[in-house]
Amino acid sequence: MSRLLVRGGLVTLAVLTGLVLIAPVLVIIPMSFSDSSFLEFPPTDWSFRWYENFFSDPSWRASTLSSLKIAVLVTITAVILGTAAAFGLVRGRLRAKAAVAGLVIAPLIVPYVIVGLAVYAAALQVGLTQTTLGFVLVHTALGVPFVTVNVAASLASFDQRLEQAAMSLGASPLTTFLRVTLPIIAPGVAAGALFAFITSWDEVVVSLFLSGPELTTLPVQMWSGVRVAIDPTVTAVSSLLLLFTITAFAALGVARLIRNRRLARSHR
Amino acid sequence: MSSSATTAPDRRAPSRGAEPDPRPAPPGAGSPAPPGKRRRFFLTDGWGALALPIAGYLLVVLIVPLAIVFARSFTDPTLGLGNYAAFFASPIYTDVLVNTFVTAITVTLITLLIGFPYAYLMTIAPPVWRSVLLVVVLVPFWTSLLVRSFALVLLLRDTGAINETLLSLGLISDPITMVRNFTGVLIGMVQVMLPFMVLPLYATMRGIDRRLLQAAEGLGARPAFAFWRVFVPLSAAGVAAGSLLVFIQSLGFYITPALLGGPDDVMLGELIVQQVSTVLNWGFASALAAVLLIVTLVLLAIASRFIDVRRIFWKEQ
Amino acid sequence: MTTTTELAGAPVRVSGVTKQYRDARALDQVDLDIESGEFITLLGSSGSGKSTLLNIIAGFTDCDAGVVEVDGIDITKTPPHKRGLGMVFQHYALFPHMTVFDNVAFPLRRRRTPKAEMVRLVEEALDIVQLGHLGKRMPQQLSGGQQQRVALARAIVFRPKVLLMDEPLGALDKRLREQLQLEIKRLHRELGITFVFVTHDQEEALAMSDRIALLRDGRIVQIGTPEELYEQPAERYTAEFLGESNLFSGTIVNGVLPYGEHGSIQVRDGSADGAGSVMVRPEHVSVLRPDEQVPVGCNALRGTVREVIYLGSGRRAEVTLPDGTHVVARTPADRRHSRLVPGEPVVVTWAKQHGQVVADGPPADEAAIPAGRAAVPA
Repeated sequence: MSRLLVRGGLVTLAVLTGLVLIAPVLVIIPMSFSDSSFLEFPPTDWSFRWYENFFSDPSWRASTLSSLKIAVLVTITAVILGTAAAFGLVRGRLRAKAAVAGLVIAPLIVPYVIVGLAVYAAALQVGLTQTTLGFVLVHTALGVPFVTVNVAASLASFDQRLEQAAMSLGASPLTTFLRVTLPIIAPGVAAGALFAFITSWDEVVVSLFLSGPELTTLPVQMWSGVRVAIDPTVTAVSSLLLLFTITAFAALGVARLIRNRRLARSHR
Repeated sequence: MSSSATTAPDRRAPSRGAEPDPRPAPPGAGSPAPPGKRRRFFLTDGWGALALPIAGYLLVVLIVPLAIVFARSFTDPTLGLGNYAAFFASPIYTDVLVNTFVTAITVTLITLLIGFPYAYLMTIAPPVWRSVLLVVVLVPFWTSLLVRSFALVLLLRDTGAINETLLSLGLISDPITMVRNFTGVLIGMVQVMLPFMVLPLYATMRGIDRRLLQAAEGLGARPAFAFWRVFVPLSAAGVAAGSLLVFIQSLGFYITPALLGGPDDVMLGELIVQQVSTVLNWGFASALAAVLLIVTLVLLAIASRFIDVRRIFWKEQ
Repeated sequence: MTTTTELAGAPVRVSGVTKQYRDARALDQVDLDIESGEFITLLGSSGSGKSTLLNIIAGFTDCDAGVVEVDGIDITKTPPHKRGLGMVFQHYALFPHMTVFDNVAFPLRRRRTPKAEMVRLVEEALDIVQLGHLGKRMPQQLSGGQQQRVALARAIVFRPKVLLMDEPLGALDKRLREQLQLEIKRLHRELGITFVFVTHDQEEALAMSDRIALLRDGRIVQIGTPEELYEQPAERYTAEFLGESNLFSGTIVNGVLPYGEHGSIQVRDGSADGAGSVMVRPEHVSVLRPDEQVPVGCNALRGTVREVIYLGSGRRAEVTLPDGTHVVARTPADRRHSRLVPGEPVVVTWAKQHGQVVADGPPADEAAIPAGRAAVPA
């Protein structure tokens, strides 16, 4: 009896928690279709005007393109640097390996406000504020830990005898890497790449320091659209972003599911 | 920031003892370094060199700028401890420090209180519901922090969805103030931080052998007693990991308190931004940053005496 | 079954190969001559250096000194992918992201074999290991035995002159292991290439090899045919490692080892005098009642029965001698041991030509044994 009560309590709490977690995400979507300039819920009239505004306004378009460009470049550099680091940390023998490993996860530990302040001061010195290069340099540092951590996890469970097997069968070290190692650790690299992309794409705090009239990213423009004067276009952008990230992660989840299913089936 | 979802524990760096005839381990049981690699090295071997570019990169892009900030806190505008003296002399600023800690501690406790039963439910739920519960935690985790905080403003403000609904139902006559105050900050930060608590907790609880509970009950313990004396102690590592993650991230928060808090709820992060962007007081902002960073690192150092901090950030196998 | 019999093997010569790890010597001046088409087994306990030697031949491990030659060509500095040796691993090492067909085709693709030829060779190799119908499966969908057969097919499809096998049957259960032993032997006969096989299982080594090289602490203790190693072990270590043995140590004078207070053990004619041990295999020992006649030319020692165990194929009796030594005797099941009871006084006997003198050999070299591992009892 008391067990049932405990279960009931747990379920109630979980439902409430779930609501708190999901509700804000869900409430913003209907609001984005409101026709009103005042954000209201539920909307009285429906329209696509904030979506139209987002796609037609040159400043929104510019910041979106900047963010996209930066995030793509960040993903590429973070994947290359982060994957190499994972190989080094998992397979290498290195003096002060713990220090290097600590350095790699430092961007996860240092509060972004401090990172922002520090890189802003440095970027002012070398003239990299409001430049794509400046953003890419800093966002890469923020995204690299995710790549390294995910690839390192894949590598730790990778059986290195597969590489020996490939070489004994006549594959050069490069071919072995491309045909055997890389395909097998690919899920880790993909997860890392996705996180690196999202890190750059969503980043607000550090970007606030680096942005300006010359170059603004999408999250920074959203921030001013929320902070300065509430611009309902932000609801439309938010909904699009939600759609975008949820699709990306759902794709990753489905890919993992299919992979696991296939493995599970084959273990029968 | 969609942070370390998959960034949980362990770095099984292959620090194997020298063994001349490496018995082939089963696939997946760690990575056996090929036997040829056991020779002496000066700084690094060929593989290790691959970790050097990122080390150099992070030194230049992150660590050197941080060091400059640290130095600047003692030199700008004049050499000395002036910035720190100004900080600790003014109750306005020390209040911010206190408020930062109080907020972070409260957020940690609330997320623990909610997250623990939630994670426990995940471990006992049937697989389908477990997946649902997991997705519910992961969806906010994946979505922009800014979007979520903004959505909460829309939901919680006086003319927001909740107040409008309650008013139209006649349950309240005046809107309940839930934003621009401490309540707003707490709701917002708990919402944002909950996944960071639930995921490590779930990871730990999933590894607890539930037969231990049955064994305890079989030995005559009442279910509640068995839960408190067996399950709770075994989940301590998850509690520690989740609490550390939430607390440390809460200390440095900026976006959520700035959007959902009022003038009395300023946290260190917001104060730093103010000092740079509006007052242009670089030296003072640097001192604030140094204080925040040192507090964070000291906390990590203390925590590392009790738990394996690396396991929290490096992914477990 | 196919036309693969025209394939020839190649001789492998290892000379002076030495490998030093940080705190242990894995191989010490090892010389080994393997004939073309031979099936040689590197046998030893873990830490003996057998896998290190195989890895040096394969090219995965560099040696500190010495030369490896295949077919008369020095390949000591050749990278593994240019050595053209086939290799089979204990845990199969099949590429999990490729089908069985693609796994087997892998070495041919690296060699840019034309498509039609490649398909023919892959199918032929899969037929040889009797898996012709499973080409489209993923490796994880196969049983352990099937996976190891795929690994075999993959290692022979490009027709290497030498096939290296690192405990290939170690992960399989007993029945499957015995079945695959026969298949590997058949493969060896059909292909005619040189097989270098690593195992710690002495029965497997005896069953499969043309010759066995027994390794201990980085050195080859003895090399020879299975019969030579089993029947004429040169050292005590060999006698103990292969099969069961009774050993009596002492000093041999004029073909006699004084034993106990008034006993003595005669050894095979022509054995040298000196300190050493006399080894007798249990299957050569008989157990007699005190009143029974000891045959002419046999050694006889008194003792009491300690235990008799029925083994199905025979019986195993343990007899305790007055000095506390246990002597083991094995006899076919229909013999008298069935009536023996523990505590009964008996006489153990064996013909003197079955008493093989073995040298005591060096004690376990402490320096060669890595910290934390118990020394092999000598």
